[in-house]
Amino acid sequence: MGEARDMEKEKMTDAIQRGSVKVGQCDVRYLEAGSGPVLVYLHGAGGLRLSQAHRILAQRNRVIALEVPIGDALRSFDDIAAVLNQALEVLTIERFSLMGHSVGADVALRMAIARPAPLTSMILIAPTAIRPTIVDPMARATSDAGVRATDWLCEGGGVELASQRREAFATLMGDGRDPAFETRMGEIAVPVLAVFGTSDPIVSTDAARHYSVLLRKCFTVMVYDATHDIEADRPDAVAAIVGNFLAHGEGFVINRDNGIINP
Amino acid sequence: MKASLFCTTRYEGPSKKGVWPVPADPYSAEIAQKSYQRWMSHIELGDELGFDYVTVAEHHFAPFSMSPNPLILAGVLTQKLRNAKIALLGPDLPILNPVRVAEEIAMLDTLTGGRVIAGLMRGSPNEYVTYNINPAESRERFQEAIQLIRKAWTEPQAFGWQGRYYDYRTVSIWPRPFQKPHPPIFISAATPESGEFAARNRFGVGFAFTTLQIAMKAADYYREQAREFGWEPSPDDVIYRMSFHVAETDDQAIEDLVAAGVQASLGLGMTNKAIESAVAGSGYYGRDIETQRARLQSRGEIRDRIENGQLLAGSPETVLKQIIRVRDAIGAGMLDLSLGAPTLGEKARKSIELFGTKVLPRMRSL
Repeated sequence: MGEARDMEKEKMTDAIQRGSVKVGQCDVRYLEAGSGPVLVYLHGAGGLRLSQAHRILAQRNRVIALEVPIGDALRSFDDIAAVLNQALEVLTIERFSLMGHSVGADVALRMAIARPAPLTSMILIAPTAIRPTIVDPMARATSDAGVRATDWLCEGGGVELASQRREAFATLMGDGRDPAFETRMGEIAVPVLAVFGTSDPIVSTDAARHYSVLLRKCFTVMVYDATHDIEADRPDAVAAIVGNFLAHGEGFVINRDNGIINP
Repeated sequence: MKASLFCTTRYEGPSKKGVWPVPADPYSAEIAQKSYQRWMSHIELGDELGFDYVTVAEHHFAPFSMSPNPLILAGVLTQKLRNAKIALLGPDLPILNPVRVAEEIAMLDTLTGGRVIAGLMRGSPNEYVTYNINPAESRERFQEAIQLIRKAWTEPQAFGWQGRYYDYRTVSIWPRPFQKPHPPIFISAATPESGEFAARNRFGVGFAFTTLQIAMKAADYYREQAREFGWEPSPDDVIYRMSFHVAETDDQAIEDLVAAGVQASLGLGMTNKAIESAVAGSGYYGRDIETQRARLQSRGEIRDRIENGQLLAGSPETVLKQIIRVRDAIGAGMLDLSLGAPTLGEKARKSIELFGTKVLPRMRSL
C-alpha cells in the first residue's frame, strides 16, 4: 500500500519542474507546474512547497513557487522583495498574479509596491503584514512543521534550515506595526483577494478589516474551519476561491454555477 | 427567575392528529386569522402582566404552530409589546439561509432597541424534510451557520465566506445588531455534542421537549464543559421550556386540563415514525441516540407530566412549588411557558392572568 502511494505521489509530482535563478549572491530556487496565466507563489515560514490547492490551480495557470531567500545581506522584507522581483525579471515573467502565504504575503505586498507594472492581481493567504492581528505568536512554532500530508511537493529543507528561516523571519517581522509600510499599501492598485482561516491561531479573522481599509480594492474571504495552513486544511476551498478570482478578477463575486438540478 | 410566554400560534380549528405533514383539507382561512388574533391578545396580556419575554419558534407543515417563519411573527410583536423582550427560539438554522437570518435578527434587534435574544436552533427531525436538507449534515451545517452569523453581525467590512456548506462572495449586513457585539445567543443543549459546542462558544442553552431528569443531566454536562473552557454559566444562561395551566385550585387546574382533552402528544419530530427513524439512522441524534429518542417519545398522563417536569399545573401556590423544584434541579434562570390548555378560551386566558399576577411576582425573588 505504502509503495503504491509513493508511486502515485511520484507520478503526480512528475508535472513539477525545479529550477533556480541567480540574483546577486542569492540562488533563488523555484518549483513550476502547469500552463496558462502566471501565478507566482511565495511560501510562509514552512519553506518552499506546492500544496494540493496549487495542483488544482496548475490545471489553468502556470504556477511558479519562488523560495523566499534569507541571509545576512537581506536585512528587511523590502530587500527580499527586491531580490524576488529581480528573479522574476531574469525569468522574463512579464505579467503575473502574485500569491503569498503568511510571511510570504508580507513580502508579496512589498514586491507589489516596489514593482507594480507587471502585476494583474494579488492573493494574500493568512497574511501577517499587519502585526497586531497576530493573535498567538507562539503558535508560529506549530505552523511551520515540515512535510504535510496535503503537500503536493515540499522542498522546505531540513530541520536546521527551517529553524534558520523561522528565526530570520521573526527578526525581520519585529513586533510593532509599520505605519509607513501600511500607508504604502494604499499604492497597490490591482485587485487583492485576502483569505483568512476561521480557526487560525496566528492571524485572527479580525485582521481582514485592516486589509479592507488599507488596500484600494481588497476582497476578504473567510475560509471556514481552516487554521493558518489554509491551503493544507481546505485545499479545494482555496483553489475554488483563488481560481475564480484569477479567472474573473473583481467579477468573482458573481455566481456562475449552473443552478439547474434536473435538466 | 424570569418567565417567557411561548407564542405558539396554534391553529384553533379541527385537524388530523398524529401525522406529519398534516394535510390541510379542513383548513379555514377565517379560523387561522382568528387564531392569530387570539394569540396576539394572549401575548398583549402577558406583556401587561410583566412576562419578561415572549417566545417565537419555527415549525412547518402542521397546525400545532402556524409559525414557519418566527421572525415574521417577531416583527409583528415588535409593534405590540411594550415591555417584554422577544426570545427567538427558532429559527432552524440548517434549513435556512444564515445570512438572511443574520439580517432579520439584526432588524428585529434594531426595531426593539436591543430587546431580542437569539436562540439559534437545529430543528426537530421532521423539519429536514421541509426544505429537503440532509439531516446527516445538520450538526455541521448548524455549527458553521452560527459562526457565519456571528461574523456577519460583528465584521464592519464586507467579507466573503468559503465554508463547507455555505458560500457567499460578499456579506455586509444592514442594519447591524443594536446590542453589542450582538444579541445573546442560545442554542439547544439536549445532546452532549451541543452542550460542548455551547460551552466552547460561551452560548446560553435551552432545554425543550424533554424531562426534568434528562435536562438535569444535560445542564450538568453543559456546566462541566463550560468550566473546562474557563467560565461558569449563570442561571440566565439556562432556559427551560414546559407547559403550564394555572387555576384557582389544584383540582380546578387538573379538571380544566382533562376537560380540554389535553393529552401528552408526541412532539412534531416523532409524529411521523418513518421520517424520525430515517433521520435517526442518518446520525442526527449524535452519540447519545437512545436518550435523545426517549426524550422525544416521553409522554404520560397529566400527573406524570408534572412529575417529569414537563407541565406546571395547579393553583398559584402549587405551581410556584413546582417551579422551585425545576429551578433547583436545572438551575434555569428562565422558564419558557407554553399554554397547557390553549383551546380553553377564557380559561387559558385566566391561566395567563393568574400566572402573571400571583406566580410571576414571587418568581422574581427566586
